[in-house]
Amino acid sequence: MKSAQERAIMSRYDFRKSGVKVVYAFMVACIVLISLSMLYPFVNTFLNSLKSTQEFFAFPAPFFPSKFLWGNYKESLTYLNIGLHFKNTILIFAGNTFFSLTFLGLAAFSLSHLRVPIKKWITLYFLSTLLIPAASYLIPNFLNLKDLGLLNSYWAYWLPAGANAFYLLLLKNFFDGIHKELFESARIDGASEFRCFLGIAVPLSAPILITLVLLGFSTTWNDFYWSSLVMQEDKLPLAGAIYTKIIYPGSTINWNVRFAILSMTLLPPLALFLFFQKYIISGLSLGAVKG
Amino acid sequence: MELQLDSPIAKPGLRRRTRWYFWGLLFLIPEIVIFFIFLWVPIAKGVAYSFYNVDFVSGNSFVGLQNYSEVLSNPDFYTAIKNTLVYMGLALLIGFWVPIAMAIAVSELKWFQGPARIVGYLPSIIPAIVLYGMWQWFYDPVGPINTFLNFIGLESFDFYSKEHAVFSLIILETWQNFGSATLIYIAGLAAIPRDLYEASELDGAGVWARIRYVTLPSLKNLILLLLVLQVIATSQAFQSQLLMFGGGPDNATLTYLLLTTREAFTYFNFGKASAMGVIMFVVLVLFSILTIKIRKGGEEA
Amino acid sequence: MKMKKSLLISMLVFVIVLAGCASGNKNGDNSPGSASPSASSPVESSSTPEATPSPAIAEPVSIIAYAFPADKTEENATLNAKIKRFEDKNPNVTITPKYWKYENTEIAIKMASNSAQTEFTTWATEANLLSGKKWIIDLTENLANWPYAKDLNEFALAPFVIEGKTYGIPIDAYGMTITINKKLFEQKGVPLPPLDWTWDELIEAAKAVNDPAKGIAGFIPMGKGTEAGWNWTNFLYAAGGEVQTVADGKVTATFNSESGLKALQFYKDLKDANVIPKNWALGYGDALTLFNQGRGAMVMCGSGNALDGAINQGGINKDDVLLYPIPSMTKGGKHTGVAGGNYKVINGLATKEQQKAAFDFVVDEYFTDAYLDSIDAQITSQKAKNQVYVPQLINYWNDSSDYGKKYEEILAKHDNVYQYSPDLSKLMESKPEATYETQAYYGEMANAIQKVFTSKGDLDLQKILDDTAAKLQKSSFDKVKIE
Repeated sequence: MKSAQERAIMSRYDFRKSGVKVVYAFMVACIVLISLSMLYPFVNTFLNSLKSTQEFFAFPAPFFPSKFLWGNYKESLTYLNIGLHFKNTILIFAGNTFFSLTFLGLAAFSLSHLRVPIKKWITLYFLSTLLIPAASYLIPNFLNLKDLGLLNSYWAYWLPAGANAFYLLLLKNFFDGIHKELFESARIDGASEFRCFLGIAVPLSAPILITLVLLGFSTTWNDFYWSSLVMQEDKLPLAGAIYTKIIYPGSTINWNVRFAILSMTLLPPLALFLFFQKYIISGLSLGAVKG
Repeated sequence: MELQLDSPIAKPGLRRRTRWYFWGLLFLIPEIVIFFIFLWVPIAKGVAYSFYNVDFVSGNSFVGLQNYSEVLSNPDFYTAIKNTLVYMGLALLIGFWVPIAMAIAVSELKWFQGPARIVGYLPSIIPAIVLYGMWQWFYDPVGPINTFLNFIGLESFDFYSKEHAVFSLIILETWQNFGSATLIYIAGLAAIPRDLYEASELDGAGVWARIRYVTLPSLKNLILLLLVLQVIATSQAFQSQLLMFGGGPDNATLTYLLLTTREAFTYFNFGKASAMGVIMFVVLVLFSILTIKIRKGGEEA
Repeated sequence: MKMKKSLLISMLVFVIVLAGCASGNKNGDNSPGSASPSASSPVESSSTPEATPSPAIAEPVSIIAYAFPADKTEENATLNAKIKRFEDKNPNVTITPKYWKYENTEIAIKMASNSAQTEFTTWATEANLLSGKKWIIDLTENLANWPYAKDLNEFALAPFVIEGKTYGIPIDAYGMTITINKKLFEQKGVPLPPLDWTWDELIEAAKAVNDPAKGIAGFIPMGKGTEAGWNWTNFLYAAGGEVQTVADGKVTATFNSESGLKALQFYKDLKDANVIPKNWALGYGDALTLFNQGRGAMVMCGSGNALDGAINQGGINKDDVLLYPIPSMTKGGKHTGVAGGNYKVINGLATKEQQKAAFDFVVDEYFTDAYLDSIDAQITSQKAKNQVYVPQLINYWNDSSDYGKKYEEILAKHDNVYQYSPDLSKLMESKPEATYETQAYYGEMANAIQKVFTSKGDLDLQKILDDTAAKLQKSSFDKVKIE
């Protein structure tokens, strides 16, 4: 981890060249600008949630509220049991992550490093699902879940979460990059294929696994349409609950109060991202070994 | 989809071979079942729908290829294909390199590298209602971008005109979506051994040369993979087209999938919507086969 | 060799698809098939009225009622009380309230999976679509057996009367109006136009309050999605035009008539006068948000809806907004706008017994004091929230009836009820939407409107209309089968 910070593409010596310095400064400036544009909606949502109704719609809109109305937050909590729905989201996310990464990981590992008959056809069986837009079979998909008796159950998320060719492809790509010799020597030492997967492939692919966890989280976090159809009332995840109860078309809840709820929902993913980001490169020190 | 067809150097015994197949299949079976139940069954039903007049009350009636002929005789169908292709092309041109550049840049940061890794991914958690409201304001004639343009003495830019609508969408989409690809590239960069840089620096390679001859080649497979995925994703784009412009002005941002969802959820013609899905599937399959063939041909040459 | 391989790949895909197809076909036939005996089919209308059993020997029936979102506590309490009263009277019926709000993006899935409520609330725009799909049942017979049916407001009923059959029971109804932000007029020192205004007066007023540099538009027409066509149809109607004519079982597009041309010319004039927002891509919500922000002086909407939103959520003072009818094309002409409203409908997938129970439940307290009491309670609860109650212009009863008078008395009791100008309802005329393929018409018209809003220079408006009409005729109207 420490050694990773010491150098990347550029070394200390490169910074002595003025050309590099200029480009580097430009690059940093770009990142700062991008970061500001990314943070703007967060700050704006938060500040809007503290405005009065008049101020919310005032034009030109003041950036800061003239008075911080924390009461909006208190009111917002009367409309929604945030804790309950947050718990549901976390349950769905945890199950999704477990099922999708375990089974997809095993499958990707198998396609990448194990002997499989008709491998080409099996790969095709998985990947061709990417080519048909989900929206065109949305209704059969829903009826399918209904026929299986999965509606209003967490299994309606956990099991289909594994049917993700996009993740499979990414995992396979990263597994492909691991040298075969590592597994060969492990096998000679008597390790089972399962141990090869768990003991070698998974740790070496930690960056992509963490990335997929993050991608999966925001997918779950944002999914309001599907979740509002599949789940009912107390089982709704947060996005679905907010959509059906707070910002549904025709809602009469004041906008500042709606934004108070939205602001609160921005915090958990932010915290999670900040927590997990350092593990995106955690496979590094191990990864260096194989070079 | 490069597959290893090389046979092992030493022919393994039958027993060993079954053992290998055993593990390989065992690891695959859960996913084969899951894909079958949760993707192929609904897809197959969707395909079946495309030959039916779907009616939830009186029962479906078989109409043969009528849905297909209706889809193909709709002039909007061709507009949508053209728009989708233009959108895909522009999105590649404007958006594809951004996450690569961002990932490399972020990995070089000396300070705040951690937060910078995820900053591009933040838009993915912003509720759509906030997001599109924000862009409507950014693109407003009196909004911040035009105010800035006027301030430096330039003409206002009409983001909503027929000519510019697609461009406006691509800026929005790139801003919103480059974060996830950036994360994947950062994970890819992390896997490049540092000694390679060390070695090439000792060989006298400058920073650019190191990016060109070490970083990018190491990412080659990942770049190709994400290229394919971006092509697939942009070919199925419709959300921001719908929410920002409703497919307008005058169908300028009507994409293929927007037309499909419109058939399904505005006009409730599920048969036609399914037929559009099948047509897209067939075309994309043919296209992928062609690409694979061309690539293989190229590599042999 | 390579050729073979790729051929094989495509073959396999095809085989998989076909294999899935075979099983899919079976399912596709089965699931709706199993639902159809219980559903309302053409047979339904011929079933004998004697078949309906008297309550004494009634089998137990359970139905699902249409609950309100959780934030509407007052409405939900009223509903629960109503359910209780109904269940006491009809012990064989069990009613469970369930919350799903009607949304046109979700109704298909709800119907496909038969998970919509037995009775639900929808709006006038949906009448043709829902009845055409048989997702809601024909209530003509139920209404014939209901003593109060004749007291229903004919005007409110109109949108749900299709080919002589009634598919919905009105809750309230409206005609389209133009909501005006009075404050913007005062700030600019512009006098308000007369209530009996014309198209020219609208443009003049819009020009006077217009201020593009500050981002303020004189008039906000909706331009995105089907609501664009919906908005424009007001001017088509005011010019005396029709969307379509039905003769000899054939639907013909007529909105490319001279009236249509005048209406589109009016939109072109708005654009040329630069009084509309440069951002034409405004859906229903976008347009109302701009209005609430004071970025537009006038917006077109179902009578009190824009006003309600502006006062209760938009933070605009109730004295700063005014309602105008759709302007007449020339002085003394008719102020015709599109009619709309909220309606109760009965799910076409429920059993006959459920449908009957649901109908009885829906109309159970129509024309009773309990209904009025619930309005009274709602006004009181809005008062507690510092909100203004904006009544609908048209209700399911006739205003001149005794029941209508009682309602007026309740409104008069409260000081947080919005007062419409008495002249408004005298001037307003409303006309139901087109009967066939209305959404397709709105959608195509939206394109034509966007052409007008985004093109520079001269346009052949008649050609735009003719092309739109021809396309719509071929793709939609010609396929309509009238029974």
